[in-house]
Amino acid sequence: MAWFWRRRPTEDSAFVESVVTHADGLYRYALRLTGDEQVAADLVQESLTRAVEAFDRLRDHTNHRAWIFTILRNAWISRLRRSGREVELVEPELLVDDESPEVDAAMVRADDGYRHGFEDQVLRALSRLPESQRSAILLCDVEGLRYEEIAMVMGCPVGTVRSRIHHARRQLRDWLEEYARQRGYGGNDVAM
Amino acid sequence: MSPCDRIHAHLSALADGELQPLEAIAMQRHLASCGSCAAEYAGITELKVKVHVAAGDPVPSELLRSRWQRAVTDAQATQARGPAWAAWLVPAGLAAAAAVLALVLTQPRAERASAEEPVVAVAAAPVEVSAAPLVMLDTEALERMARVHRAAAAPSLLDDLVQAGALMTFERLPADFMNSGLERVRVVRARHVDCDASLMGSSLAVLRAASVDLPDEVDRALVEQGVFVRSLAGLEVRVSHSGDQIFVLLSDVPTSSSVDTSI
Repeated sequence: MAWFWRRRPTEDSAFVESVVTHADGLYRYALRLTGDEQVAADLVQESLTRAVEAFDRLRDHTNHRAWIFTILRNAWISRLRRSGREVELVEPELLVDDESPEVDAAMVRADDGYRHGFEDQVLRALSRLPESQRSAILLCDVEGLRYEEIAMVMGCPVGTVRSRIHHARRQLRDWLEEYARQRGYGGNDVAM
Repeated sequence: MSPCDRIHAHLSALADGELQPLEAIAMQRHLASCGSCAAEYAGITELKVKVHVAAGDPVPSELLRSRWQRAVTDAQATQARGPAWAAWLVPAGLAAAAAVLALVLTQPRAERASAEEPVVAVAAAPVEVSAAPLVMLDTEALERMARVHRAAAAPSLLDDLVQAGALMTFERLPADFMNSGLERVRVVRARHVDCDASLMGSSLAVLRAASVDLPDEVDRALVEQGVFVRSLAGLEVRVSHSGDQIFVLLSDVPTSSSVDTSI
């Protein structure tokens, strides 16, 4: 009786393939959202299976990419709520080495270590943002979603996305400029 | 709040290609003459790159990918089988359906006809967008757009571009659009086939940058000034960009110089 349930069989559709195509992006986003590789991997798997299960309820014109990111973010928020945590208070541990010793600025500049250190600082600064701003930035700058798609993922108006991204970037630049100043670099060195 | 503060609030949207075409053009005109805002814009675009680079890793391991693929396959199989209670519910459902069918067949035909829902099958035509450049935005193409704008040429080729996905829209704008400052202006949307020389105003073509090859002079002007301006037979052609979109603005305002990027 399997045919009875197969209103829109996913195995005959490019849908599954397209969903799996987004797995890398989902993982990146989940990792920056949760700060935990295992939780991120579980979230991606949960999102993919939910997407397959919900496929026959999906409207034809639905944006698959935004839709599956929505599933992932909602799954994460549900987990947080079940554990009694507030979404905006999340500041996950970043996957960077916080214990690296301070290095002389000239040497750092010479061996390009500053660049790597700076990338860690970008991640650290991202983690300090409220989830709503962090998600907007990640979905825009890393995953390349349009504001309209981000609005769908976050369940808010496009204008709110625009505002969140503006404020998030201003905050990020303030933090990163401060980081650069502390290490003897001027604003021009980081071109912020 | 100073005028530049108001502009700063929109620079992120400009960098993301999310401004309305006229907003983007007005912003780029301002950036070309305001060092403070231009530096702010450069900082935002650089931050975008840094975030992309910093948060773009890591990629999942092959092991993880395999695990997800198996999970998807299992979910497909489960979906295809249906829930466990289907084993006894389906026969019961079929029996009920047979009873309903018998009841319906006993009704007069006219009553059945009025209760039937019309069935409309709609086949969605897939839109294929090529990653390869779809159009050369060279002088000939600009001149063709200008002729179409003045209704001196048929828009058939532009129509092809629309179909191919390179040309996204072609709009008729209010005559005073260039004086609209940074406020959101009213854009009167019209397809390019509606262009009429008897109507004063300007037309705007929005092209996907990834699908357009720009001639060197246009590319250079966009990089250096943000806007490329050229006069074609008394018609001003203004090219600008925001994010991954290129805007070609055709205006009936004549200019004295053939090439002028000093706006």
